[in-house]
Amino acid sequence: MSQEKKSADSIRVCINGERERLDIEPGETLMSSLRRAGHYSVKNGCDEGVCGACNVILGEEGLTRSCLVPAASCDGDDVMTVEGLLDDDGRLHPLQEEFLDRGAAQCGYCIPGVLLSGYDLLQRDTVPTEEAIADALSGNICRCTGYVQQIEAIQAAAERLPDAEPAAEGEH
Amino acid sequence: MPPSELTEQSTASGETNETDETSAAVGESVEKVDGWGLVTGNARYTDDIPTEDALEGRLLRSPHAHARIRSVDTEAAEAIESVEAVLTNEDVPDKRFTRTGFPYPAPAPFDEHVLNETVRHVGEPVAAVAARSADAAERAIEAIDVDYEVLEHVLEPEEAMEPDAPTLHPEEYENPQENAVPERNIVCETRHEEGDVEAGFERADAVVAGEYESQIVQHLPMEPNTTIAWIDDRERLVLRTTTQVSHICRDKIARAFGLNRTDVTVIKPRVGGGFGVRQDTVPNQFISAALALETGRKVRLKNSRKEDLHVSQTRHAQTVEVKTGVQEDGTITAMHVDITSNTGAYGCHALAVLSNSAHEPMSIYPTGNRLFTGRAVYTNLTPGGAMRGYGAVQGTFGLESHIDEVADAIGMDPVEFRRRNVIEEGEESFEPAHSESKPKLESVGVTECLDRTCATVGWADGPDQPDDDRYQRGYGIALTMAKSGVPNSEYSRCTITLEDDGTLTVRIGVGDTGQGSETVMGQIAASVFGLDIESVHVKADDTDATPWDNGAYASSTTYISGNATEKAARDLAGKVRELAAEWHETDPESVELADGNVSFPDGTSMTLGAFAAEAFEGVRGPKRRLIGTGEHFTALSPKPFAAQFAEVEVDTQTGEFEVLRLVNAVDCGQALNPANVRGQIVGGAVMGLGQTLSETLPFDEDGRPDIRGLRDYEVMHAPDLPEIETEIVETYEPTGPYGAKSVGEVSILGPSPAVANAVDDAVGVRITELPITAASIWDGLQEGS
Repeated sequence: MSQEKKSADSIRVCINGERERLDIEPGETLMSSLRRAGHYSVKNGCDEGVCGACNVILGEEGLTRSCLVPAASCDGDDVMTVEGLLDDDGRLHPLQEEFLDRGAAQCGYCIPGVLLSGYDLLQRDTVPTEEAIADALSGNICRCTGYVQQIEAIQAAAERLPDAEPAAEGEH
Repeated sequence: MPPSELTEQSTASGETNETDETSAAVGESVEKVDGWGLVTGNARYTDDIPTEDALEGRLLRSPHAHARIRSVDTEAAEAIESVEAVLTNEDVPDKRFTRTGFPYPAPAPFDEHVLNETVRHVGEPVAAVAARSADAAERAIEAIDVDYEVLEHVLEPEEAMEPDAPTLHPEEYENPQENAVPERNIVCETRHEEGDVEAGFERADAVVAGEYESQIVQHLPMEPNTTIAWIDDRERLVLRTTTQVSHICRDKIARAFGLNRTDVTVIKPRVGGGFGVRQDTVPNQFISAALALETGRKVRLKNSRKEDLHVSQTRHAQTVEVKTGVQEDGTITAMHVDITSNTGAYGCHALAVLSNSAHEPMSIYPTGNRLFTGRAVYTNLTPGGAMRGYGAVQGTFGLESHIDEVADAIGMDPVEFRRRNVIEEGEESFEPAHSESKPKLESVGVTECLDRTCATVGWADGPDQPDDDRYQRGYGIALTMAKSGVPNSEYSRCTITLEDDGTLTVRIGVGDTGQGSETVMGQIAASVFGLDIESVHVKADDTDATPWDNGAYASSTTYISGNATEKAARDLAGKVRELAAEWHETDPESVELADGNVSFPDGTSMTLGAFAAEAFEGVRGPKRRLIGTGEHFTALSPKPFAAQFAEVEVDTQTGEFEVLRLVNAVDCGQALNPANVRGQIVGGAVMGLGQTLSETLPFDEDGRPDIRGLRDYEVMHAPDLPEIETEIVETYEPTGPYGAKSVGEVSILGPSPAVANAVDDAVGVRITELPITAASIWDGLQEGS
């Protein structure tokens, strides 16, 4: 846990590589502040830290439910939302492509949070087993898909990412 | 028409769709037309637009299960700075309606107001506030003083029907349902008999009876119910809202407030799941409309997750009694199903859910002698509503559990017993008495589903038992049937414009809640022209811009709206042929449309884009932008079928159990988009497994929902999944678009009885109450030993 940061009427954060100043209201969560600033990919599914729809990657803490974090404590932090998965040319991340190809997104409301759970896993585990992926999604509720196609998509994306291959198989 | 037999398995290698190429052909797993927005976070749901200019709406909710509101003192609330409106039952229209999302008049009693003078369940809205800040709105809610006359309440149907029970709806209401007895809280009582059941029981060698109970569960779509309402620059009321039935919502709002329908519009942005809860026009929508009309301002009214869990319509709890007469050779001679359904505070969906609860599962076994009796009863609980499966979850749990008990009574294998009695092509389903539809079914793949499942799992061999005989494994199976739209009710209309660049704009009023309906409509339209999916734009989110459609419910979308889309595309194709033939002085029949080209008998061709451009430029005559239209209304409702299998392992010392494997074989006609179809099957099966194993919305004796929030509502999470296999058993439905039937609901029905049957197979304990718990198995083990 990072040290307590000063609360203020606004905080500076770096969202998907862009420096931004977020206005914050007293007692506001990071989720509310991000949404008010137009980052609507951060979904408000439950407001109580259960569903994972508001997931962001927050600085060194990694995968975080932004509805549980006071915005005031995030001054100076890096925040990654699902938009951060796109590369500089706006191309989809393999995770996103696999979700599309495998019908792993139905209503889509949970998907930003699910994709970030998958991304966070692939940072730590480049050749995840099905069980590891299911565990990584344990903090996400998806009511549409039954998770199966999501697990398959994350596994397929892992296979496409360069680090998943043994070093000798250098080709992409 | 011979059914083709294509199989798609969940274990299939991931080599499909590796390229970026899309194909329009129905039968292909094309990328969803809205998919990019879904995976990039760009999809905009109701609350994903700036609303800084909107007033914040908040609701005061009843703490009592049953109370009359003597008076409401709003003075202190109104005095709070920045409060713009405080509404009570005195400020809303006196005319009663039903929230049910069926077309007017709807099979439901008109038994509620926007805000009622008598509240009938905990959490029912009593007053509404709109203020310039959330803080002020919340303080205003706290400042409202209500004088309640608390009335006696009743939570169980059996008690509610007693002569001395409180009457929940003492005032006469419009549109009472069949055999309503309001003073005994009976919303409707129904009876449907075919053949002679008494005579059938007399011919039986054995009569088996059982009783099965199901619990209240919640849809829990991931997007909470939200409405943003405003008055636009033409003085029209606009709702931007989470709905599956935008046109019906528009109609109901207009009627409730005495407005012309032309003065209301409903915008349905991306919707974060529905599962039936958005098939009603929910209180949130009426109240935000009232606040916008009152203030003339934009109002945002969003249910918190906890509110949604407590007050959104639920699945009806039901008691299902089944009695079956059977002969020693396995012939069913008679069947009687009796259901008591707890509809809660209002009668929305009371009759239709009750009817569906029995008619779908009973249709699978077309014995000559069938009787269904049932009643729906008011109680002081959150109203039951439409939910995926629509009663058939409860009925199938009862009937498919019971079928195993009947097979057991005559010593027959439950699969063999099902095979002997199951419905075949050319037979009729057991249709509701109020429906005129009695079609002979033309595509019935249920036996093939059963055979395929048994082969996949090795039914005849039974499960491999663990070495330690403390643990016992069992196999269970269930057959299920659903529908494709409500016959004689559902109507869809589609228009398709050929734009001047050769692309198509499909306008259809059905709501995509995530199931992929916009994509499938696009595929159907594209296929008629041989275009790729990227050449089709589907507009389906706005009542101003789209023609009437009943909406996305009753598994109707692909069948009803898909037929309308195919007809519109064929109408447009005919117009293209006619104009092209005129240009070339040839017969329209000889003009071919394929691969995005218009081809003529002399071997020449032009692209559809060039054709459309020339038509619009008016090079060879008046300017034209061709439009095709199609509408679909039907007395038919083709049935999708499934066989669902569960393998469980039970710890005989504790009753703890685990579902190891769930196999779904589903006949949906032709699978127009196999990846979508598979997603619907798995999603439904996992939701069904949640109802089987863990989901429940309990109420305490005062009628308060007994959970604190989402953390207490146990849905399936990814690590809870058993091994899931899915096979699509394709038949061809001749009345469907490209041979398709529905798939949205059929797979949620089987998991409960399949698991119960597997538990019985493993340890000889018959569980008759949902959810199935280790404690109930333990109790059964104690009784048996």
